[in-house]
Amino acid sequence: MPKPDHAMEIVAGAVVTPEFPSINALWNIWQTGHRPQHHATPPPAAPNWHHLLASTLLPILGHVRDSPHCALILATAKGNIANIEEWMANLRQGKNAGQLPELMSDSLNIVGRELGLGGPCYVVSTACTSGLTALIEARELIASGVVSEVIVVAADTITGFTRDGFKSLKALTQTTCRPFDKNRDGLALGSAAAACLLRRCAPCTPPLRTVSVIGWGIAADAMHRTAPDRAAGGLIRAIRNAMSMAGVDPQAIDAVVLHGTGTRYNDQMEATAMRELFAHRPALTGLKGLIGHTLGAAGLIETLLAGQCLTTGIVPPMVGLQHTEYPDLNLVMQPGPARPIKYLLKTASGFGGLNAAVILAHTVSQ
Amino acid sequence: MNIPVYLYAWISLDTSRTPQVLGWGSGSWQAVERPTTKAANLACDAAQALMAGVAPTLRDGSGLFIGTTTGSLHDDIIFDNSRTTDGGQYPSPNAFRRTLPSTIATELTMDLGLHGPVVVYAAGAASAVVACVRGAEYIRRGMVPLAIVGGIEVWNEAIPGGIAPAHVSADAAITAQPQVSPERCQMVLACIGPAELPGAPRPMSEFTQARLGGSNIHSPTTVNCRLQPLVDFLVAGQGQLVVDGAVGIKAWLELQRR
Repeated sequence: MPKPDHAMEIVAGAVVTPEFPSINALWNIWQTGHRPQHHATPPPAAPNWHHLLASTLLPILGHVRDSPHCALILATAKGNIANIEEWMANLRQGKNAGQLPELMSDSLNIVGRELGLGGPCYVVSTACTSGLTALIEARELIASGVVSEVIVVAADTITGFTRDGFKSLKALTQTTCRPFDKNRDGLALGSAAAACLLRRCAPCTPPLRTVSVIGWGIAADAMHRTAPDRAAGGLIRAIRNAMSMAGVDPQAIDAVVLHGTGTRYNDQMEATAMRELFAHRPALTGLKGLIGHTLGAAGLIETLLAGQCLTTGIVPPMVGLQHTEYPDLNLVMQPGPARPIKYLLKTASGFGGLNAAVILAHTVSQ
Repeated sequence: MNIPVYLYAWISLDTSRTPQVLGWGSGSWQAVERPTTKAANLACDAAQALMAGVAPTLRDGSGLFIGTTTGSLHDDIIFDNSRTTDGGQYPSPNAFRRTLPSTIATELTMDLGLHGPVVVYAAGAASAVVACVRGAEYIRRGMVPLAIVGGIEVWNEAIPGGIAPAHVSADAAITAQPQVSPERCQMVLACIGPAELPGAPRPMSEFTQARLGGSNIHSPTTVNCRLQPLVDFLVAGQGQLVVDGAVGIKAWLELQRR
């Protein structure tokens, strides 16, 4: 069990996508391993940014004990890109005098003011690792004694700007997202938001059946603007640092929720890291075949769902994977029975060679 | 854990403010001829100079903590132009690669050979200050041996042009002068770490005491001085920090309480 100084828990979590209104809705479908037929085509219009933030934060608010001192961290890769896109369209027509678009900190300011949160508030933007990095930041704010409660909200919406960008990189799938599959052809994009409340636990009152972040690592490849390090140097370093902080040996990791974008370079890099680090071949799964790549929100969404894996002992299949390219790895392809999971690894990687990893543990009172 | 964090060196693209006594330069004009954006090259050149005195072994695990308010807005405009002209036939992949607030930070990791944690913060006008404080906290917690902290803003003509004239202060005119950068790049970076760190330069001053020096909150609509508070603080050694913007005020007050 985690030591007392690790005693901080993810008290509450919420996830909202255009297709799934809650964590439970998403979890129930993920367990089946299949994307519902009517969800095959992503919705064309991006959800409203503020509505998305509000709909994830509202379920969290009721759990906050000390709003005047509660910190708030927003994780996002692009912020309110729909608003920025509109601003740029106006700019082309010379209509922008006297105004700026909604910057990332403006979004945060709106949220913080509306919710009456008085603690530190800032945005973390580290590409597709934003959600996981923000969770790590929240953990560190609590561990260093700055605050005892932190709300982390992570969101990104997909608009023409983002779609055109990934299309220009030839990174988008023409079919469906199939991570680690022989026939994969790229990633799918998805809009989503997630929020959670992290809280320090009183030393004498260990939490009951909650999920804790007991170790983390962040490392940079320092190699390329978009492509990951083929040797997975940064990802391996991040995972090793996370395990070292948690005091967990590699063979103790029971399951991994991978970044799993479905692009060739990402999948190869993650496969390399898994081979290098885990000779015992833990269960590997991922969520992007179901909801797409949700950019800055992905890390937090997948961590919250990983928490469901820990508490239920179920590791759902890697959605979209039918013909594995990596038969030597234990990629989960079919729903299986529940089994005890003590430690779970969640990873994320992003443009610019950013890598983040957290070790999650299931904390149960004695 | 109360480990003092020291300022080893700092550097800005504004040569008149950078402490020349350290003998470390700032961005060079040669940098603007390289294929990536001029602003990024200016920043990387300056940061290389900043790290010149740091042992390679120490560099490797060092962290990079950067604040920015406008993020990648400048590059967003460039990419958006590429995807909206000529019927949208030619969206530029090179331009898209730069449309993240973390782009310049990751370019710095490549240029400096940093493999440690990288975090990019936005907190209104306090962005760079938050980055400094968080970097110091990572050092105190033993997560990084050394940290490069600071802020980067890349101005496009459209950005200050979007500010209501009444809110443009004299500082805006200064930052818009072409001799700073043709693309209005502003950058200030500092190298911080524990005292007497093997392989690091001689400490300049204690950083953490100055962090608690006080605040002087001014107009929240003066948006052009996002990095100025940090420069003022560094120039003054242990002077006062000035932050603005509602998010910045809230972040600063909370940090000051510590």
